Amino acid sequence: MLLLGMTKQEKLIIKRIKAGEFVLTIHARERMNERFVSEMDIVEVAKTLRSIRYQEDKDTYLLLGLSTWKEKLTVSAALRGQVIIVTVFFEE
Amino acid sequence: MRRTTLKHFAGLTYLTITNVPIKDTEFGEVINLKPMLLEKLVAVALIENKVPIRGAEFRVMKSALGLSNEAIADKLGISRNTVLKWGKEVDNRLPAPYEMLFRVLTAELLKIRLNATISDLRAENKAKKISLEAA
Repeated sequence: MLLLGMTKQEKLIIKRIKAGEFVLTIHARERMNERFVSEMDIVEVAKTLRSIRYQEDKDTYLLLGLSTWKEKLTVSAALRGQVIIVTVFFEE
Repeated sequence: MRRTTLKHFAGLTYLTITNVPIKDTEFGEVINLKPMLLEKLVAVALIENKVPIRGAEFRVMKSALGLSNEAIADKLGISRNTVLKWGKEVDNRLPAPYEMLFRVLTAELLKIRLNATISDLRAENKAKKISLEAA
């Protein structure tokens, strides 16, 4: 199971995103607008999580999962008291 | 509290949302609202303004309703693959009977009074500009 090797922070981010407890940067919202990504798609990425990677230089996490439309979607998220969705992008 | 204007929300080029509360973070400006609130606001506006429902509108409305593809398929009596197809074809309008059904379902779940005729439910061919206020 993917959850077994995860840190507390990673588990907390996933739990909060699944519960819809996050805020979006304007940048993330704009990327979502360009690709018709909804907030439910972000929740779905956490539910269908395939990998999570910590980016030490930015202190952010990259979550790879599937959108509700079965597209591979990556969500960049940060934990700063609340979960901030920094950006989203599709895997090529 | 600082506020901003969001254009082309959910990829809908005719849609603008003004007075959206924001705050600064180390990652830039953040929308200071609970998730789904703006999507619900948009879904209500799409129904009230009788906007034709293409895949793009379907995506944001479905998210606002919080319904999975499976739940939509069950409620409309169609296959999951059909729901998937509608969502993937963002420029294509839903087939007439399903557009009407989905409009009724959305109105019911968002508790909007839908006082409409069949032709209202099928709506017009092109969306007009919509400006919403988040405050």
